[in-house]
Amino acid sequence: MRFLDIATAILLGSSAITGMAVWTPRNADAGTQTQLTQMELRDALLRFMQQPGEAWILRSSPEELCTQLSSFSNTSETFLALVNGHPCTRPPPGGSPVANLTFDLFPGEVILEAWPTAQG
Amino acid sequence: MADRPGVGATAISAVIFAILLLSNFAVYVAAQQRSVLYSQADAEDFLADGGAAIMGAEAANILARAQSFLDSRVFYCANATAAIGGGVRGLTDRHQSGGLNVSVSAGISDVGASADNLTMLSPFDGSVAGELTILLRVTESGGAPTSGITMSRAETHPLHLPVRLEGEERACTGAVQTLESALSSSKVANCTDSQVGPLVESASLGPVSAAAGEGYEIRISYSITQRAPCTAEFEVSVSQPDIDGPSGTFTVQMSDEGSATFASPEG
Repeated sequence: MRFLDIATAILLGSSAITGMAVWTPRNADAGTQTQLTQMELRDALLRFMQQPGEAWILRSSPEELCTQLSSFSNTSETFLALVNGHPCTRPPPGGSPVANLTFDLFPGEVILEAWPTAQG
Repeated sequence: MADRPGVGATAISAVIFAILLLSNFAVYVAAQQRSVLYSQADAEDFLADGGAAIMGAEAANILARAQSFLDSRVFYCANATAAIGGGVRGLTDRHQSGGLNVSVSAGISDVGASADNLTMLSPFDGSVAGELTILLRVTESGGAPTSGITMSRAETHPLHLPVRLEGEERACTGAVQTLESALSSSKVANCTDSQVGPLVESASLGPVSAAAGEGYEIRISYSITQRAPCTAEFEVSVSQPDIDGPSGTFTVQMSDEGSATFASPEG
């Protein structure tokens, strides 16, 4: 009987711990954090567009756009522009950008990309 | 039960584990719901920011194309506003990417001075009295399939180019009338350039000075088309130079023609 009691106690304990491990809120929290970061970076990209303005972006060369964009980068956010598919600089390591904004500005396509610096 | 002293402890621990498990499950469900809400917020943010970025770019493109249209031709003074209105009304654009569709079309308007929230088009956002107002009609639609969030909206934004169209038209037609009036009342003995030229030059001084005061440049040229009675045709070209547009500086030019028959000294 003692053996049965110990087995029951172990079963109860391990079931509870497994349940807590399976239903951990950590995964959902990680997804939420990613979405929050995406929103923050996308808002930052839109702020960048509003700061020098569309007219300035329209007039500027890809190099000027890149310089302006890199000066907008800070310790927590890294920004990059692709003009007609050509990136200004090498993208930071860490895979795809977390957020981007794509638009056509004569004479070509402009993509603004953003990474959280911690990831890069 | 005396032989099994651990049963009570096991039962208590079972209750504690069950409470822990239920609490953890409640936190888990809350986190999942929060994740769904964040996912929806992210989708809304994507549609709002993505739409705003595309709309701003399309508006800048329309302004640049309007600038190019204005810079590329010489308008007839009498119907410059109508001709420019017709050209601007034909400007449309469409962008489709990432689940977002944005289409814009332009027209001209006389809404007077008004502010607008399309500030990323600064300094061309809103309208300014006396300057060329371009009314931008924007329709945006899109959706984020994973979250079920969709967007559909139509907006109108006044934008402006610093072109003082009416002032330029007035300077042009005014110069033609002044020249016609002044030259028709002038007398020439010999219908030659040596006599007609100074008269045209003298009659031009007023309109040229008045236009220069308003920032316009006027060029006046003439040719004698008939000797008896002495008749000259002249062309007035008015331009508003160095206008600061979204894609650099540009010039808006207008011209008109007139003619005058000089009186003879005997008459």
